[in-house]
This record gives sequence, C-alpha cells and structure tokens, in this order.
Amino acid sequence: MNERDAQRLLEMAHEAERLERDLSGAMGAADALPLLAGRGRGSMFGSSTRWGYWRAAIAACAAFVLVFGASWLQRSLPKGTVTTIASRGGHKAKPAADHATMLIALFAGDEQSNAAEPECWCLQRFAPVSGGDVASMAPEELIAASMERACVTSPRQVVVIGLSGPREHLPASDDEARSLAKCLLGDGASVGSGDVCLASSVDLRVQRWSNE
Amino acid sequence: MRDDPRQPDPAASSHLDALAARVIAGDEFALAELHEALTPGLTRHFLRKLGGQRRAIEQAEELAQAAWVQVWALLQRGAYDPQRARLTTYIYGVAHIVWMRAMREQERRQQRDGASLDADGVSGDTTRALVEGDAAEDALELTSQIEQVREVLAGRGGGFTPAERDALRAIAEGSTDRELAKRLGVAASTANERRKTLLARLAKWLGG
Repeated sequence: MNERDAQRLLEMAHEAERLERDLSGAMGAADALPLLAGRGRGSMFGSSTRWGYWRAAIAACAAFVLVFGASWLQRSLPKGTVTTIASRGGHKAKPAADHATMLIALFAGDEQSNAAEPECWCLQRFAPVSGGDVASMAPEELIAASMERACVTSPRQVVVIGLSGPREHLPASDDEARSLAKCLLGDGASVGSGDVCLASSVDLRVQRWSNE
Repeated sequence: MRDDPRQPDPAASSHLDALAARVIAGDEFALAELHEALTPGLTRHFLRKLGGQRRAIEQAEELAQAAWVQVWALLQRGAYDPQRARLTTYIYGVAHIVWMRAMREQERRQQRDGASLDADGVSGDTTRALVEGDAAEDALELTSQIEQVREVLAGRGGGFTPAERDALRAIAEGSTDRELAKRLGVAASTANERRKTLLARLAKWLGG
C-alpha cells in the first residue's frame, strides 16, 4: 500500500458514498410518478447521430448563473406556445438548507437549429418566486426565467428542464447536466424507465416554448 | 487494524441489508424488490462515469444490469460478508469491478480491431461479456479496503482529527493543491505537503 493506492481508495470511498446516496434516493421510486409519461422513446433529440450533432453544437453559457425569480415578473414572456412535456413532483416538507432548484435550458435560434439540435444551452441555479419547487411554479415561470439568460439573441424554441431536490441528487457540473439532459430527453435509444435518470426525491418539470 | 468497531450507517443501508438477507434466504419477492431498488441507482452511477458519451444511457443500463447480475450471484453464493463491509460498499465494489472490466475489454477490442478510442464508449458485446466473469474474490478484498477508508472518513478509525478528515475528504473529491490550500487556509505548497503526509498515514494504517 502506497500513497497512490491510498488516494485511489479515498476516491473510491467517495464514489461509494455517492452511489449509496443514489441507491437510497432510488428506494422511494415506488411512489415516484413515471418520468416523461406518454412520451415516445427519444423523440426530443432523435437519433444518437443527432445527439452527437447536439453535443458538437453546445456552447455552454456562463455555467451556474444565479437567477433571481423575481426578475421574470418584470418581463413579459415573448409571444409563443408553452407546452409541458413532463412533470413529476409533489414532495413535501423539504428542508431548505440542502435543497435547490436548477434549470437546464436548451436554445434554438437560427433556422438550422431546433430543439433536437440546439445552438447552446445553460445550466442555471434558480430561486422560484413562490419559494417552492418546480412542481409548484407558475406555468410560464420556467420559460421566462430561462429567457432571462438566453444564449441566443432571438430564440425560436426553448426546452427547459426544471429540477428541485436535494443538492446531492442534482447535477454538479456541466457534464452531469449534459448527461442528465440526454437521459431525460432521449437520444433515440431509451427513455423508457423514468426513474433511471433521476433520483425519485427530485421534482421535475420539462417545458417547451416555441414562437412558431 | 481498526481501532473502532464498524458502525454502518443504518439510514442509508438498512433497507437494502434487509432485502439482501431475504434474498440470501431464498425469498424471490425480495429478489425482485432488490433489483428494483438497485437498478436505478446503479444506472445513475454508470451514467456519471460515462458522462456525455454517445449511447451513454444504453451503456449505463447494460453496465447496471451486469453489476446487478454479479451482485445477485454473489449474494446467492454467500460471498458477501456483512462483517467486512456494508452492503452499499459491496455493491460499489462489484460495480467498480464491472466498470474496470468493461474498460479493459473495450481497450482490447479497440486494439484488436484497430478502432480509435472514440466516444462510442462501451460496446454491448463488452458489457454482455462481463456477466461471464466472477467478481467474488476481487470484490471482497476491494470492498474491505474501501469500507476501511469510509470508516476513516466517518471518524471511526485511523486516529485522524476532524480537520485532517476534512482534508482527506477534499482529496477524495479530487481537489487540486490550490483547492485544498483554499479549504485549509494555507499556501499551495503547504497543502501539497499535507496531502502527502495524510496519504502516507492513511496508506500505513490501511496496510496494517
């Protein structure tokens, strides 16, 4: 046993703790609503080739921008249609300290891009006006909050993934957010088992806005 | 080697332990429950490791399935010893072995086929081959060591002070010297020295 072995074991112990949290988070899966119920497999991002294109097209906006929810009230939502693609939630009595709300927003602006092949995306921390979670937010609040930090000048389409739950079950980096978005929205292969993507303790709302 | 008795975290693992005990006793309903309890968490674990690779979801699901098959087989054979590691650590150890085998197998295939190391990640053939292996011996040794480190981090062994454990946790999280220095409130060079000292102490304690 040398220092390098000890460091590796430390890292593995840390990973084991994360897996333990993942496993304990999955224990409540029975009472979780099916994720993306009613959606086809991978309809959002189409094929894995499309996903590859999407990845290549990613220009991550300023990561972890803190968005204050009050600002959305002062700005009207651009004209368009808001559709709720998926919603799961209703967890009560959340301790404030270790819970957070985050948004992953995918923007399509120019004619070549769309929700399947967005131009850019943002990972944002978010404080809902209501003080609650994504499941209790006003219908347009997610979209409006994302528009505040739009990474294209004239968005045509936006897909927003809103997440509320224990910080340890939320994405901690751009890579994790990208991986989660891919899992939730599909890559043309498998979106069937909803609780695969997220711990059941995380509330979810996915909304799409389009001006077309 | 340990100076304190092992005290598993009951909140996180007691339900799993109970399920595992029922599986070992031959309860088929418990087998289905355990599968349901483990698969999503294992899949998320592998998704994190695969990051944004192409086909990451299918690969994560395949790897989770391979890990589940190994866990199930090892439980059935009585290869898991709760005295040496809590079940969650054991499951991690098995998952880690499955992951390492997948990486090695993938590397072999790429060398053999002359394929480049691209974003395709782990092939379906690779993950299918994993369930043929036997993780029993490897898992037992590995998980015992990981469990000991978890005990150290929890303050139940090794004689590390809370500040030292905090530094060890920062190292475990992959902190650079600069990040460690910031956390400890010292210069980067001092942080590097402390890292070496702490790792040497940990290695010595683990080595018995």
